[in-house]
Amino acid sequence: MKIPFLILFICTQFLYSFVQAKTIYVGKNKSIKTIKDAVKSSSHGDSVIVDAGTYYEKNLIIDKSITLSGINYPIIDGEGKYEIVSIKVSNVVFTGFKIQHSGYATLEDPAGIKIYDSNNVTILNNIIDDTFFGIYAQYAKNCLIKNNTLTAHGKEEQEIGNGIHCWKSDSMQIIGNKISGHRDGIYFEFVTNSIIWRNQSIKNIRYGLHFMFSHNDSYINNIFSGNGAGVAVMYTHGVKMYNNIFEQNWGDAAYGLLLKDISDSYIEGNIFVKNTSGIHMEGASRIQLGKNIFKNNGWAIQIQSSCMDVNVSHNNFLGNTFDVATNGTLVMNTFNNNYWDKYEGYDLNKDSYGDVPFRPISMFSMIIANNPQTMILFRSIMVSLLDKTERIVPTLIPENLKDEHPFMKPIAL
Amino acid sequence: MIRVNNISKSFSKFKALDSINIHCEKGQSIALIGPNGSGKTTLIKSILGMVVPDSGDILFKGNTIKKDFHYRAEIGYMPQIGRYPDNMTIGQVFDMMKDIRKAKVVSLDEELIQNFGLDKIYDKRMRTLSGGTRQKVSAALAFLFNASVLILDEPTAGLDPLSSEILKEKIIKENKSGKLVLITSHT
Amino acid sequence: MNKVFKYIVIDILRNKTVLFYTLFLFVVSFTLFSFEENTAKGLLSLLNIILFIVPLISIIFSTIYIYNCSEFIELLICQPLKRKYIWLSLFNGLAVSLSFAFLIGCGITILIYEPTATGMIMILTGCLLSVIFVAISMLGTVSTRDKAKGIGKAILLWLYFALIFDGLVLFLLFQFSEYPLEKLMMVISGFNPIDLSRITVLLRLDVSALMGYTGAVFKDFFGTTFGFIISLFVLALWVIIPLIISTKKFQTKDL
Repeated sequence: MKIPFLILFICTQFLYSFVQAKTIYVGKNKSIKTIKDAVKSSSHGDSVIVDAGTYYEKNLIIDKSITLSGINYPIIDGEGKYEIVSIKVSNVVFTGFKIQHSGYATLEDPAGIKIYDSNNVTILNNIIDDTFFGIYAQYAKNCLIKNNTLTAHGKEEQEIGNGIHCWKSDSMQIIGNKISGHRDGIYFEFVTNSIIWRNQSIKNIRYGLHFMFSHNDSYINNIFSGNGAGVAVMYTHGVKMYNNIFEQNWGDAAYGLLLKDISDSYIEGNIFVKNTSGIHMEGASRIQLGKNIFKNNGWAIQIQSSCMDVNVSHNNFLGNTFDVATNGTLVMNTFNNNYWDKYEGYDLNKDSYGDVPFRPISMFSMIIANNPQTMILFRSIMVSLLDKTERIVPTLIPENLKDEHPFMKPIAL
Repeated sequence: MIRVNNISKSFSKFKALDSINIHCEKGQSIALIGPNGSGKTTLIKSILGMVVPDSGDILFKGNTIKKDFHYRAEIGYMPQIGRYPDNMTIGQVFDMMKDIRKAKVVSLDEELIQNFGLDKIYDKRMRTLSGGTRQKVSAALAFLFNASVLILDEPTAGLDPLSSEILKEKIIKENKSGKLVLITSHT
Repeated sequence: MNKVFKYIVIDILRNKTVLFYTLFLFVVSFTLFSFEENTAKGLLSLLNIILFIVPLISIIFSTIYIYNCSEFIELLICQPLKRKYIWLSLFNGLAVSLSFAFLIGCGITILIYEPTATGMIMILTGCLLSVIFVAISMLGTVSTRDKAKGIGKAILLWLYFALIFDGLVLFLLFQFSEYPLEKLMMVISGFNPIDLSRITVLLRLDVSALMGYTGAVFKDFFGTTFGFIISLFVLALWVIIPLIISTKKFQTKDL
């Protein structure tokens, strides 16, 4: 009777120890000195906890579904030669590390952390400094990239990669990251059903966010500030952009938001401050543009005549040099119920809408759109005179580009 | 002292002076009389260097006046209409003229200033003055520097009879003391 | 050398028009700086005022002043003085007093609100514009005897530089829109002191980013110290050349 019980007990103990996740400690004073060894001796489901210190792992490949966490940000240094962390399996959690000095080869695109063909990977609370690409995901799905700080020190576009780079991925969550000094802060190409939320993409060399062929994504509550050319969203449909701040994208050919071939999208509750061009639209159609604030931009909205069914309403336009510019006389977009600080109309029936339409486009902005060289006459007396006369007797500006019922006072947003 | 050699001057089509020759000497008193537009003022202005003749030459003490300006230190000129910077007082105008000619003047002749009573209204601004008072200022300025030649363009035109008398006496006095006097008048 | 100059300056500074002009500039610049939300915007609005008012007042005031003191000029010519000396004294008197009026009117407020290099350049261009349009007005008056005609001419000259010239530039840009005209425009802007001043100041302000490729080409040149010196040199030529011509004409003018 006793022996079978004993055998059963031993068997269950054995099985239990085999199935139960173990925790492996890595550190100077621990038996395992390198993370690589820890990964090698771990099995699926294990945890690896790494003490503070500097680790030279060359290329650390994570091929088991484990949780790696750092205590006090242990440093993994790529010595300027290697891709630092390569995640090649699903269900990995990677948290609390400082990743620095990756290789700078342009062909292999080395990154601080790269996710290859994996699902459910979480990259949390890491500091990534001086890497070519920051966090790179290809063929990834359901991954969470959250609260990481990515800093690069690139000077030229071609010398540096992107901060968070996602390619052919789906259902990604990019949340609360801070990215600066990269080529593009966040780069999405062929990424669908994903969310970009509460990130700060500041002072990147090219775009704060670069977005191509990525349908049905949302980006919400992000701050894009001081990037070389602002934010570019191209060849995409079904994008929702809510409550973002686009600011200080000031310079030649810089935009708060550049839209190119976009359709069925929503741009609402955003703030555009001090951009050379708040929004520049080409080939945009069926866009709802509402409840945004445009303040102190060179141009608030540049809407090329290739756009149609763009509905601009309930926005505040404050202190922009030019409110709207377009390059043709055909306008298939509507402007309604916005507040324009340049409006000089009146409201006799006190319904808080002006009684005469506002034409947000000045003659000079039409002239520039047709012949950019005429910008040389910017702020000359003749130009102010032309604008004044054109306001009174419109001849050159598109007849139907007007706000029939502009607000008298700024809209509370 | 002044020799005008064959000068001509025309203003577009109007010929104001046609080959004029004049010779004036110290102690002479010469009146230029003629109707309006007969070229009196043009002649005077040519001598003063204000008008440049088309041809001919003017000699002052034997030297041509072309490209010279120092000779004008020896001329006292009273224009037909005298106007001065509006915001200056009479005193300032005299001071300014003295200032401008300072280096070249030894003794000042302030007789007319006193006789016209200008010293009592030194603080008045030029723009507040009547035409007659301005003429007095012009006359006083012409005599102020003891110039050896006096050129007076319609000197008594705007003056009241009393001041006119004072000026005439002064002209006679200075002429007697050996100065050359050139006067124009249309009467 | 400076006796006549001294009396002219004293006379002009007592002039009510100049006092009013100074006060006007002061009130306008002060209002602009205190009402605009940032000083950069104030500076930009002030630039427009300066480019409009300063040339207008300088050319009209100088023209009227010169006609009004024609008898005084005659009086001076009868004195042992060189004609050149009289004419240059007149120029110096007008240039110094109008620049002084500008300095008091706009300079003080700019120094208070925007004591930067851009502010300094703005003060400098304002003074230069004053002097340039005094020189241009003297060129206009020396060849016109009739006062009404002379004032009309001054207004036309101002219209030309402030408005018509830019109209011609616009026409030119549209006629040859398929050619790159940036380099040519740089030369052409030198032919109008108002345009040159506008561009020199504008390129130092944030709004220059709006000027796109043309602005970038201009900035590459005018933005450098060398380019800045060149533009100052060209502005100086706008003083020197009219002044030389008018002095030449004045020396043989019949009064």
